[in-house]
Amino acid sequence: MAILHGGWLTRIPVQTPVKESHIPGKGDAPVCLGGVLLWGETWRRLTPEMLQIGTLTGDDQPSFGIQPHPYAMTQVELLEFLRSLGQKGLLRLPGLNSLAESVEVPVKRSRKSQGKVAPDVFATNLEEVGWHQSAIALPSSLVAGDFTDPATAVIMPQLFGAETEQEVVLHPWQITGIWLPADEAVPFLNSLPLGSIDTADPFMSGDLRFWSHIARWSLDLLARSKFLPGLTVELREDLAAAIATWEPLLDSGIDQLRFLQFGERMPGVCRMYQQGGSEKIRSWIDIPIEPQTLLQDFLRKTLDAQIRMVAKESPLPETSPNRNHPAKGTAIASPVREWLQALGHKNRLVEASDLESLQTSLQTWTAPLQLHRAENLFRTCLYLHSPQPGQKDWQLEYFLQAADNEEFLIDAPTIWNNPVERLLYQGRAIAQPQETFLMGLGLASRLYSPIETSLQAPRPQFCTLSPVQAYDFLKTAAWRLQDSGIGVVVPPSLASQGGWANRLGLKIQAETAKLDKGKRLGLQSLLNFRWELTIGGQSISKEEFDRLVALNTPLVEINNEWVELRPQDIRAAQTFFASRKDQPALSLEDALRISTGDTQMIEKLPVVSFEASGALEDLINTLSGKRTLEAIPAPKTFRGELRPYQARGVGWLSFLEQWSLGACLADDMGLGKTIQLIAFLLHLQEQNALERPTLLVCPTSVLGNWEREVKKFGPSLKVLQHHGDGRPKGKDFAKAVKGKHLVITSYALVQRDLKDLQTVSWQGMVLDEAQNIKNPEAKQSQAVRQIEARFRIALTGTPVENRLSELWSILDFLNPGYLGPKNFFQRRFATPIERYGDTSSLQTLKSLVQPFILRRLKTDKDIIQDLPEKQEMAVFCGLSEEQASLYQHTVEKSLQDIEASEGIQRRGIILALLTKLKQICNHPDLFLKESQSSALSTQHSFQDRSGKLKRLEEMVEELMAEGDRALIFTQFAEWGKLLQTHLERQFGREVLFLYGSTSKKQREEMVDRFQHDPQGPRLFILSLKAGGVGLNLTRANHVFHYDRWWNPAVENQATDRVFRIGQTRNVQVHKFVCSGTLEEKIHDLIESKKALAEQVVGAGENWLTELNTDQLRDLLLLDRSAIIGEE
Amino acid sequence: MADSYQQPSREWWAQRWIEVLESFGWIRRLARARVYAREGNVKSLEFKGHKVIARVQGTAPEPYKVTLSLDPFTDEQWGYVVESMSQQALFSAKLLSGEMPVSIEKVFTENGLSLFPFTKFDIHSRCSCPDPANPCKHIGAVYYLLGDRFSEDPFVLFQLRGRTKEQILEALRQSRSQGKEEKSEDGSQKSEEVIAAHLRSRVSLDPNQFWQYTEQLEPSLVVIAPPPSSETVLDVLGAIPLKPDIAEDGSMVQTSSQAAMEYLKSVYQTVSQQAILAGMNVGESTE
Repeated sequence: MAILHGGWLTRIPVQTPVKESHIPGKGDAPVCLGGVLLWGETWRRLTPEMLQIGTLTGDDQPSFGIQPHPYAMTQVELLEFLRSLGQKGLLRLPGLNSLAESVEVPVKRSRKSQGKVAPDVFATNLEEVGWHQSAIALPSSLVAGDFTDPATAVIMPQLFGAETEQEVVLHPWQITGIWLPADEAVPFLNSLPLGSIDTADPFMSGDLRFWSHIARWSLDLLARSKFLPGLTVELREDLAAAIATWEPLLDSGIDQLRFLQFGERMPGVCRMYQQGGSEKIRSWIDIPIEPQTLLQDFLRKTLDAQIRMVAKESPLPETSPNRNHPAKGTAIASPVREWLQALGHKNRLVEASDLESLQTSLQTWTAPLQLHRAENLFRTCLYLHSPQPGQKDWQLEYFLQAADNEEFLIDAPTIWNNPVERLLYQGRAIAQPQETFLMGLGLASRLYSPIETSLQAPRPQFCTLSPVQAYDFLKTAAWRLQDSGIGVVVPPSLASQGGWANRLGLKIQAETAKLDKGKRLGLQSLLNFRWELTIGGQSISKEEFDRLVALNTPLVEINNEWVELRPQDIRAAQTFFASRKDQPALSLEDALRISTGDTQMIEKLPVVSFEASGALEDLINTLSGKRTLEAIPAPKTFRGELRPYQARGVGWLSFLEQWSLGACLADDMGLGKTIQLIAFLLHLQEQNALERPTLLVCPTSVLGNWEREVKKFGPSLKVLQHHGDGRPKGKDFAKAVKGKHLVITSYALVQRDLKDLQTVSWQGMVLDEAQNIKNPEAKQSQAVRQIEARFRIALTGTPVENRLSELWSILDFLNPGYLGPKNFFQRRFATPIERYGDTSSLQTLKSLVQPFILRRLKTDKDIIQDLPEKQEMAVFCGLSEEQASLYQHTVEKSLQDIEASEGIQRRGIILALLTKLKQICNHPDLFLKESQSSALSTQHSFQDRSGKLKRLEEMVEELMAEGDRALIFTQFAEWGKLLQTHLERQFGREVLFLYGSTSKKQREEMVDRFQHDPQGPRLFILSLKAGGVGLNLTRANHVFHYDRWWNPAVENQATDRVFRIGQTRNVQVHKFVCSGTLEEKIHDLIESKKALAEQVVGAGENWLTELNTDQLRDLLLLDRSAIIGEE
Repeated sequence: MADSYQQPSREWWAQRWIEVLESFGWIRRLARARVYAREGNVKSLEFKGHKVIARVQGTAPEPYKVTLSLDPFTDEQWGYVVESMSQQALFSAKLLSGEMPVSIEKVFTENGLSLFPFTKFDIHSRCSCPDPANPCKHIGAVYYLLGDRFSEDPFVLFQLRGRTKEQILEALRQSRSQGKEEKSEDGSQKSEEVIAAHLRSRVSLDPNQFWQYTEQLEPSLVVIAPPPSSETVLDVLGAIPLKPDIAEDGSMVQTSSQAAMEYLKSVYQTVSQQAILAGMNVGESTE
């Protein structure tokens, strides 16, 4: 719906409304301080007339020659938006709440007046915010007229993220937003979430996100003390003024690289803010500011603002400590004192004489770092070579290294042989190679004295280091040199200080243990394994190990490779040798963790190599995706066809089942998870492996659907629906379950009938819509964990890997303990990933869970080709108790009336009855209207009173999580209205509704918005009559027929709103049917005799009126087993 | 590891300058001159070539004009010095990285020269005051201020002998290059092409990268951790080379510089701690 922008401006933009006291240059405002201009963008319908020059320009800003950005949020909208984001904890802006509250009244009023706020009423409140105006040049396109004729040209800016095929030009637009000066901008930027794994609902535009990352970098610079105090001269009101500043110090290799990379990745929009400062907004566009210039400005000003705040709080020692004469201590002499004071002062001015000499001092002081001020493409590099065979000493060789490519090295002889102004070397130009080289050596010798001796030669190329010096170089000097901008290269075996590959470690070979007959493997099964001690990747014997330890040096050579022997590793290894009689236990779970790269320590020793053999190798290769899964051919008893990806899915389920590993099948909605599960059970049956019943738990709303699907696709499976008031209990339950293959029950009943369910020895346990256990503390989540079963399967259509607490809950059900306790998981994965966007934690987590989750998207290339362009599916829903009793009552009453009447009157009663029954199936409230709401209506939530609505909600939640959009058709306009209100409340998002009385203009606007607004509503309810024809709504890829018009032609016409030219994705059509009611019977009739039905039903619903009363009774009578009942 | 490297004492040449002066035996007069200098009577001090020209406020309404110079070395003498310097990369390296090499004096003595004045006859000074004594207290005051200058910028010494640091570096460069200006390792590639490729011109706007920033946060920025060592750039640079303060007993001390460094160190420490703290609180909701 809305997008928040934040641009970095190097100068304060124009304040609005312009206040006399804030005219730039007057007063003490430091004019050159930068900050963030926060503004919002939201879709609204625009017509060329509205964009005609002058119409959008308010009377209060006549001086600015450019038009306001037509999509920009108004002040009220922006405050509302910021406040809603603040409430969700997505950002923090001090003082926002009080400001937003003060404009609350206007918000309500503004809705009535359609977004137009009378400025005089709210000016006082809004003024406090500090509104500023700037111009921004944005890609815009011509919607009418001609560029060459400004009088006719109508130009429109490109909406954030919208795609356009039109030719675009850069055009300036005026934007109004909240100004956050550097010191306020930093805490704001730091409060924004850094991660973005769940991109379903982005609210930040690229510019804001980019600056929030840079703000993170600036925090890092502060933490690492990468800044320097300075003294510069600045022009203020035409006079030179001495200014005390804090400057970023980007001398280390990593910061130089970041500077280059961030500069390259800066989104273009960041550069389009017009940096005119507080001058009048101009109507021409600046050449886009250079990314590096803008970046530098941001870092300088945000660092300065942050350090200044600390300096302000740190009192300057008035007298230097002089213990002998405390009273006579000497004050810090002028002008140093004034300079230090100004470093903590907001106006930064240094008012003192003799500043030139201080400036000279500071220049001399920082001279060793001068080389990093310029954009340096090359740096001096020290390359550590291990000793030559038979030698003891190490060598540190000198090079020049490219800042952006560590491997681009120029050796000293080349440099010395080329005393030139500019050296061309392998396609690169190096300015002043010798000077750059010497300068670096000068700094390096200051930081690491062994280098200095070598510099007494005229053309030094290296220095030699003793083993002790080499160790010291690796341990301490290397970091300091790198941190000061000197490149350092060390032998690869010594390079990864944190890595394990070259440390003392264990090499493990494992295989599965032989099993007793009838026993199965599980995560906790112990493996047989052999181990060897290794160092630097080489196996060593106990004798060799002892010899190395006896050398008593930190660096040892193994087969020409030098590695570090750490004291703590030696101790661990000695302990390990001492206790090797009782071998440590290694479980299948450990093996999985080691092979996915999560845990690598056994008894405090790193596992540097892991080899699996036999069946274990197969398992690990398959789980890690190195070996592809075999598709399983559809079992003979399977009535239907498996698409290729479904056959693979069945293969995957049965593979994990063999190892007793829990599986989560998380395919997109509509890819046939149900079918895959049925085929999997049939496969077990075919293998004679289906010995005991499987328990399937699903939401009440799909109980009936499941049973129906099982009967349809796997009639050889004996099913029991455990549900309803009459369900068997205790011994009766045990008896009822006997001989069944599948027992289906609901989440609510698992919790209620837990004791009975625990008495059965289940072969498997399946959770459908497993997101129902996303809250691990909920009772039903606890209950499903307490039922034992040999295999466990979870089915879900939500992108489970992006919802970390849900992921944990499901995985913990499938493979208990695998992801650790909840609080550990939160600390280790959820917090780093969700809060900081930590990609390495995310990577580890993904490889940990990847073996147990199979998720195919309908957009995957190899899935798309298996799918038809249009998939039609009937969705069977139950009735609530309330619906059932209304239905039954209505049928009985009407049948009596029908029997007592004939002719037109009879027809009329039948048609009226049909309508009533449809209404009841939709929702009791639609039938009862408001006045007659039954007693039940107050006891239950709105959605619990209708089986269809419940199911719709579940499916809509899933499709929105997948980022899809849907049309919902109904033939009852009243229902559309009720549904719109309900869905808006449930999902907290806008839902569109189009029906007969929607005006043409509103209609166009809705369609336009649904089709073009990137953040627009995702749900569109249409009445079948009003929305069935003429509209183009190809952005939706789901169509719901909430109620049915028993005429396929009418439904198809509606479906075609989506399925027409411009649709690039597969479309899913969901036809809702209430089980046990006339809806189901007619649906079956149509399905079974499609051709005939079209003739019979073709004209509409009149054929029903021709049936005799008995036929009607059969058709209308409620099948009580379809009632969902109470939970 | 605070002692892993030693910063050269920046004051040594200032001290050396004063020592040389005081060794000539003008103790009492110089003591008065020092006070005179501290009181700010030297109104201006500038270099004109190798000469120092200063204006010192005396008893007369108009400041006296003081000129002071050492014998500059001839081009030939400088030639020898540069030749000697070029024998050790250390000199170029240190001078380029803004440091005065500690062994600089040796280079001059090897060539029979002295960077510092050797006898009082090496120093030429004149003052427009009526005092016939030389050095008068105005000249003495300028001596002292020059000492301050040395601690602020040691390369002033070269200037008194007729060369700036830049001139010396240029001479060293020329002695290495012997006139070559550009070279390509294979000689065939046209230099313009290479330069065009590597001197980045204006960064163009990429329409595909206009709105979105999809990069994930760099892993090394996920955790804002303290650096592995408590040393900061302040330790690398050492104390700020300020002109010395005069202690109670008249000796020169670096109290201002020390106090300033202590102050800066405390600011650096607090800034680092606060940044680490702020880094941990990112994205926390408003509660």
